[in-house]
Amino acid sequence: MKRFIALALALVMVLAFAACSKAPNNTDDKYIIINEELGAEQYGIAFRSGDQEVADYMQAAVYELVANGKYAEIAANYDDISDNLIFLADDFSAPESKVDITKAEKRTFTMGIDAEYPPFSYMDDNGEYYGFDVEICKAACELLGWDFEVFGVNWDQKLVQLDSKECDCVWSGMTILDSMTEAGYIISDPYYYNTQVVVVKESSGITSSADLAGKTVAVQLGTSGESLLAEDGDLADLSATFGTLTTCDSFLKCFTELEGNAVDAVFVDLPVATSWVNDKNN
Amino acid sequence: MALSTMILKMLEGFEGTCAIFFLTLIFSLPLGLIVALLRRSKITIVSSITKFCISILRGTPLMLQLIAVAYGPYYLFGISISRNKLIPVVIAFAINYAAYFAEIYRSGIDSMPIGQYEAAEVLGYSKTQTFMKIILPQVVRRILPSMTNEIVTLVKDTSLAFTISYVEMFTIGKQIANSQTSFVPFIVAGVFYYAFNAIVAFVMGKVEKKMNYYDI
Repeated sequence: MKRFIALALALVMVLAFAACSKAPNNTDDKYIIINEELGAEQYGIAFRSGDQEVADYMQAAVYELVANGKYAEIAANYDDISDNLIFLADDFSAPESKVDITKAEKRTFTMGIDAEYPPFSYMDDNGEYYGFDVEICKAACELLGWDFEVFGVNWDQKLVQLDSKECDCVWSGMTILDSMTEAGYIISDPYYYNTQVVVVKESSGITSSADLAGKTVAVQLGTSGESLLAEDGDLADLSATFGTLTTCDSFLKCFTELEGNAVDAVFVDLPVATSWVNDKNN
Repeated sequence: MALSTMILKMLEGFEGTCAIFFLTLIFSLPLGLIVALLRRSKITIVSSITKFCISILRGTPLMLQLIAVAYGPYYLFGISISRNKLIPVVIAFAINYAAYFAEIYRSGIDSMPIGQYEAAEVLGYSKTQTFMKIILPQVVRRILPSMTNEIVTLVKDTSLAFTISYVEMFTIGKQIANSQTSFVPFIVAGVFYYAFNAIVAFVMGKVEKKMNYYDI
């Protein structure tokens, strides 16, 4: 009997790996996003302290992309996020550039990304790193004449990896936190307005954050959602009503748990939620 | 965050670590013995199937097996993912460790001289009696050092349970490290694991001493 169990489990394992690329189609669940504009915040790029020059060149190159229309061109491919892009707002005007981008010295620029963060940064169908942030960074590097490389960071260790020079920036839908500037990191001008939203199954009957009382909620470790829901965070009162708060090491795992009914709701950044929910519901 | 709060928080997570450790041992030690006996079976098909299973369990990362046990049933059959993450964690750990333990048991059983079996037969012991009363106690004594090795590894492997969102000490450590932008929790975690393993090594040393009279 034991060997059959062992064999069956081995088979499950092998098949699971084969099947992991696609979620089962045996569910007609629809997903909804509850947006109560919880924890309004902004995305930015983090550079090492001391790398002011690199940060200035990159910032100037991004503004140049905005000025020459390339930025809007790239954003046009990302409907889910284009509304909240700060640089494309009607009343936005770029501050005067501190450096001349034509004078940038040739170098290799390694962009640190969370490779599981669509639509900002992810691995596309061809196995290449792709996404809004990646395209912008690539275009900016072209302007500066820098060699462009992408490095997938471990999100909850991103700043340690930045410090150890595994990458030259962290640029991947990263929320600007006060603690980052306090710790000496150079943060770019914010480029995206973000809020935290709650994703639930339509059939769950949850329609507001108040309905989450007693429920199991998942959040990704190292995200601003996690810090907001922490005991000393801004949304500590809300998280105190939850039954359980679980942390996953990637937001895709949070969503897998939601699909598999292990959690009732996922607390996540708006653009990621929009992109995932649109993908699921179609 | 004060160091004492940090340690208290991580101690909470330590319960989760202990739960994995003890439950894994309780299930995998006997399971390993059964697997070892199947592996030594004279029926070729039984022993080769067992051998194949062991090779899979030893040849793939435990992290992958954790993901397979936790999410595999959902992706394959649409079965809901368990809310109590301890269940998939213990299943994956117990099966994985049973494979390692089985090989250790087997090495111990195979090292027994054939003369002992013959002597037991002459004295009128049945096969089961020979195994349970003569062979097994000596095997246990012989394999204790290798077992200690595996058990020490188990203590450290508990940190892998975070892969499927199970809360144990290292998960809490990571969370604190994140919110405080601090490296201290990792040092605390290191001290905890070292202390736990020092206790394991001490207990196993005592057991080894106690079983010394089996020495041949």
